[in-house]
Amino acid sequence: MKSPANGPLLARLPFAAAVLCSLAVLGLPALTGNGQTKPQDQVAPPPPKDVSLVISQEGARRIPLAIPPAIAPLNPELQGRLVDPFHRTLTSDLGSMATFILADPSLFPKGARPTVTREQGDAWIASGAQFLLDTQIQLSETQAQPGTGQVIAVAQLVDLRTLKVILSKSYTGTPAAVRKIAHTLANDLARQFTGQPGPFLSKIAFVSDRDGGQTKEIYAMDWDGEGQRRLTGHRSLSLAPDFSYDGSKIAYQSFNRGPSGIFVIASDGGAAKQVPLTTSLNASPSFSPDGKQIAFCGSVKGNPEIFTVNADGSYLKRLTDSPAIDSTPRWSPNGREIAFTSNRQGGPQIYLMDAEGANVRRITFAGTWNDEASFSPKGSQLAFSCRNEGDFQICVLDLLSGRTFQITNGGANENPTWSPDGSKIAWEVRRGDSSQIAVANPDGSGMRVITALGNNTSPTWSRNLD
Amino acid sequence: MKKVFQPASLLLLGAFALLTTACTCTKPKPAPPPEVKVAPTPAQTPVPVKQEEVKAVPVEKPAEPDIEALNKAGYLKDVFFDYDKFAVRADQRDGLAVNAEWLKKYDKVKIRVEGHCDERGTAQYNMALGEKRASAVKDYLASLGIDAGRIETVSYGKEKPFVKGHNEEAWAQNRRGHFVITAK
Repeated sequence: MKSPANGPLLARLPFAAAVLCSLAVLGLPALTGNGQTKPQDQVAPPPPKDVSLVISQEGARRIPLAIPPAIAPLNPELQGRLVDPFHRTLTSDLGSMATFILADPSLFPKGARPTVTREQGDAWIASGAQFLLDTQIQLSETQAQPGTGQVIAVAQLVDLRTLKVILSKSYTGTPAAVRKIAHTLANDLARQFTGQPGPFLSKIAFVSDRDGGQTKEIYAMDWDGEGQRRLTGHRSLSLAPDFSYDGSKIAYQSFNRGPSGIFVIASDGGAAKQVPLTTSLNASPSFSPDGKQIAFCGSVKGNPEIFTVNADGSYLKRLTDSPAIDSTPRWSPNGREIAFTSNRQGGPQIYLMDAEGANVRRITFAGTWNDEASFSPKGSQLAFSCRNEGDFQICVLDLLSGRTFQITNGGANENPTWSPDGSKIAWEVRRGDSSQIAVANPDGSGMRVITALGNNTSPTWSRNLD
Repeated sequence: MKKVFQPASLLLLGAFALLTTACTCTKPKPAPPPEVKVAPTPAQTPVPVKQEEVKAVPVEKPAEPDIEALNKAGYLKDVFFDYDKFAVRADQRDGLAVNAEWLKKYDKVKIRVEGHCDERGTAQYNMALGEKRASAVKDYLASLGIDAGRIETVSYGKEKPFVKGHNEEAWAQNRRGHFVITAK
């Protein structure tokens, strides 16, 4: 057995430690394998210079977790409809976390469930696992009323060394909600080990050209790429979506009424409402955290500036005043600052200002083109599209230390957006002529491409955890 | 069955095509087709030839198709830009001067200038850059005496490239201010 019995959970590379320490700032405890609370590691002191580098998470200590398929009544139909999607979702969610490493299913013991005796526990430990997530699925469907049944999923998390049940939960929902049940369970497990839920119930909105006819529509999907659905039906160019912080609305730019306008649509679709504006251009909407205002790139007399406006179109206010290009505003999570891009000192670089437009300061210096800033949920880091030469890559700037990390290294990469828990970043990656949305850890490891149909760009991650 | 129909439908298609070409010829009539001789584009030459036929066909269609035809004829030359720049290049000024002359001659014409960018920049910044380009073209025309009220601008950033391809040749074509006639 290779797993470290009592080793620190979070002995990681400095960057990963920095990411995880943002949890510590929240005062959230992390559980060790014994269920004890352990203090987080200190952030390693950053090297002095503003250096771009790629750090992989190889070598980080992860908790070995066995997730056997749920025990369910023997029934092929039930298997395909419930048990398989449940298992796929659960392993996809938990396998994406830097916290866990999933034990190899080919080494799982036969039987040994429920895991009660020392022998049974050891049989699982032999597969490399330290914890076992044991689940059962039942469908309470009456023969008289098929399709009206409820799925009942029961889950137990077993510490295989002590045989103690650490977590025991039961979930009920319609058969159609079986993936949601799995996401909810994954969130509960994440909360158990990291102190906060994962991003598993959050959504990603994006732009897709899959409908053809040179149109682009706003789409949304679950974080793992499941459940992709079209929200707009403008048959026009609709671009640059941004989720409101409560997850209820999406603001975007669209040409569907001729000139470019900013529109707001409910995040589950419906009728879009245009924000009445006297400016032109009207690109890059970004919600204020309280949802009352939208920052955007507008233009009066052909000069793009950053504006804010109430969602009903009142109180239009210009924040920047420069003959240069000012674009791509992004409101900070605490509401007090706005990041934006400007070429006022030459090439496009990222600047920060107060939400009232004062105190403008440049925050990116490396490379020739930096744009599309995205604040981490705690506001301490900024992901952005960075380029020195060649294609764009994704960079992450730690605002406290001033250090910048480049987290991608292949293809063209743009438009990063953070998951609401800060554990992931999504962005668009172009390889050849195909642009798709990828998700990875904030250090670039564990990347998966989650779209395939048409070209899919400009992801925006919802900011609420459920 | 299909074999029976095919030649017949082909004939029909042919007849339809004849009709439509005839119709296209009618379009210049209410428009400024005489202007055709003045404008410097090569596209005009075929138009006067067809004018005789025009008389034979009754004219019905008003403004809309005329504008379409005007735009197809390409009286106004597009302007091209340097990478990540929005200043009107010296080698583009002559073309703009010709455009200005044309606009002075046909002073009812209203236009839209579309700002376009190549694919290399970020989408959001390019949206702003395209605005700057369109606006630079508008300002230049205004400096040549064209009423700015006749010129609207729009930016499409890198969303509507004219040429596919990932090389300087394609990029150079896609960094442009594109003219669209909106009223006459």
